[in-house]
Amino acid sequence: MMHKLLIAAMWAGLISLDITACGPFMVSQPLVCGPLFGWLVGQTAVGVIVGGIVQLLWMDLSPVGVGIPYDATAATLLAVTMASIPEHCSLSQLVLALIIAVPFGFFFRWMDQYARRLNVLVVRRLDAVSDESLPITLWLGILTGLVWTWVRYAVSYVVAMGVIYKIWTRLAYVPRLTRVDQGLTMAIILLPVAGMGVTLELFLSEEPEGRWVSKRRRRRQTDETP
Amino acid sequence: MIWTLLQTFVRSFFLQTLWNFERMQNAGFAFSVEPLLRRAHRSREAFLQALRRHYQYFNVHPYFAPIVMGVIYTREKALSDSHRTDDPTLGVLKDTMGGAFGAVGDHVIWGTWRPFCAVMALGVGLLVAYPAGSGTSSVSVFSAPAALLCAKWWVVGFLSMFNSIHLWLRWRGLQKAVADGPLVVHWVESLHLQVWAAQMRRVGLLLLAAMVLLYLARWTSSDMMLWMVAILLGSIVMKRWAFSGVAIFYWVCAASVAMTFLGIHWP
Repeated sequence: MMHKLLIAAMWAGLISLDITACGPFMVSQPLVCGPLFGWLVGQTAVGVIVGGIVQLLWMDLSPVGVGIPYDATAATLLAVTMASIPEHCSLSQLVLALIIAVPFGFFFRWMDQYARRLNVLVVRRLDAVSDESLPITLWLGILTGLVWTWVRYAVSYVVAMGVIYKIWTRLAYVPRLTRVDQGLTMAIILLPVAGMGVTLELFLSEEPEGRWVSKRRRRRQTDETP
Repeated sequence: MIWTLLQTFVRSFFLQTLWNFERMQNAGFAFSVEPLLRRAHRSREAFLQALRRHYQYFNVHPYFAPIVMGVIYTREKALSDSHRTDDPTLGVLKDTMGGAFGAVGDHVIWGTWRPFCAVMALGVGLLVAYPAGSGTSSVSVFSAPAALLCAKWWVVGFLSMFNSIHLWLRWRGLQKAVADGPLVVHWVESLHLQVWAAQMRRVGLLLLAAMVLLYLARWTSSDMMLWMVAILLGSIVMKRWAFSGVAIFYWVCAASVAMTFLGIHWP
C-alpha cells in the first residue's frame, strides 16, 4: 500500500507543478485533476465526484496579486487517494474522505507561502552572480525551481497521504445504516447544490476575482494601504 | 525571428517558477525575455546589461506577460539603435503595463473565463454522462462507464476550451507586441475584453441557472427539493457575507447529518 501511495504522491507533485511553477494550463483545477488522478489510482468515478464538488465549492479561488489562495488541488487529490483505499467506496465514505482532506488545503497553502519566501534567497543568490554568467544561471535557477517545487510537493503529499492513511485505517469506517451514515450520504446530493450557490454568487458579483478573500482580510488590506 | 518568438513563448510558461515575495516574477521574466534581448542588442555587453536591467521587480498576470516582453523588445531595440546605454523610462513602462494587464487578467481570465469554462464543461459532462431521467440511486451516481464519459468531457472539454484562448492570447499578444511596440495597447483595447467578460458572466449565469433547475428537477418527487433550495440560497447568502468555501462545506455536511436526525433523509 505504501508503494502505491508513494507513486500517487509523485503524480500529485507533478500535477501541482501546474499551480504556479509551469504554465498554468489549469490541469491543477479540481475539475481536471480529480478525474485524472482518480483514473491514475483506478477510481475514475471517485475522482469525478470529488473533482466536481470541490470545483463548484471553490470556484472563486484565484491567485490575485500576492495572495495565495486555499489549495483546493491538495484537498481534491488527498480526498481521491483516501476514497480509493477501500475497493468499493460508498458515498458516505467519500464525504468522510473529503471532510478529512479539506483541512490539508491550509497546510499546502502554508507550505507554498514558505516556499515562496525561500525563493527570495534563491533570487538573491542569482543576483550575486556576474553579468557574464547570468544567462546560464537563470537556466539553472529555473530548472532548480522546477525540481524543488516537484520535490517539495511530492514530499508533502507523501507525509499528508501517510497521515491520512493512518487516520483512515484507524477509523476503519464501514457504512452502517446509522443516521450519521445517512446524513453523509445525503451530503453528496447537497454539496453540489451549495457549490452551485457559490458559483451563482460568483457570476452575480461585479468583482469576481476577489471573492475568495474574507471580509476581515479585505479590511486588513485596506487598513494597511497608505 | 520566429525561432526567437517561439523560444520566448515556451519560456514564458516558466514565468512564475521562482515567484518570490521580494521581486515576484523577476527571475521568470528575465529568463523568458532573454532570447528577445539577445536579438535586440548587437554586442554581448549590451545584452548582458539589458538582462541585468530586467532582473528587477516585476509582476503581471502570466497570460499577459508575453505582451510586456514584446514591448520591452521593441524599446530595447530602439535603445540599441540609438547607441545609448540606458533608458530610464523602460522600468516605468514595464511597471505600468504590469499593473494594468495584471488587473485586466485577474478580472477577465481568473474571475470570468476560467469559471465560465468550468461551468460549461461541468454542465455538458453531466448532461452527456447522466442524461435526465437516468435515475437517482447511488448505483447510477457511481456508474463507472458514465463517470469515465463525464471525466473525458470535463478534462478534454475544459482544458481545450480554456487553453485555446490562453495560448492564443500568449502567442498573438507576443507577435503583436513585437510588431507594434507600446501601441499594442490599442490591439488589447480592440479585443473589448471587459465587455466580453460581462457578456460571459451573463451567459454563465444562464447556464448555471439551467444546471440548477436540471439538478433540482431530479428530486421533484421527494421532500428533498425544498431543502435543496434552502441550501442553495443559504450558500449564496454565506458567500455574499464572505464565508469561505471551507465554512460552507462543513456547514452543508453538518446540516445533512442534522437533517437525518430530524427524520429527513435520502434515499
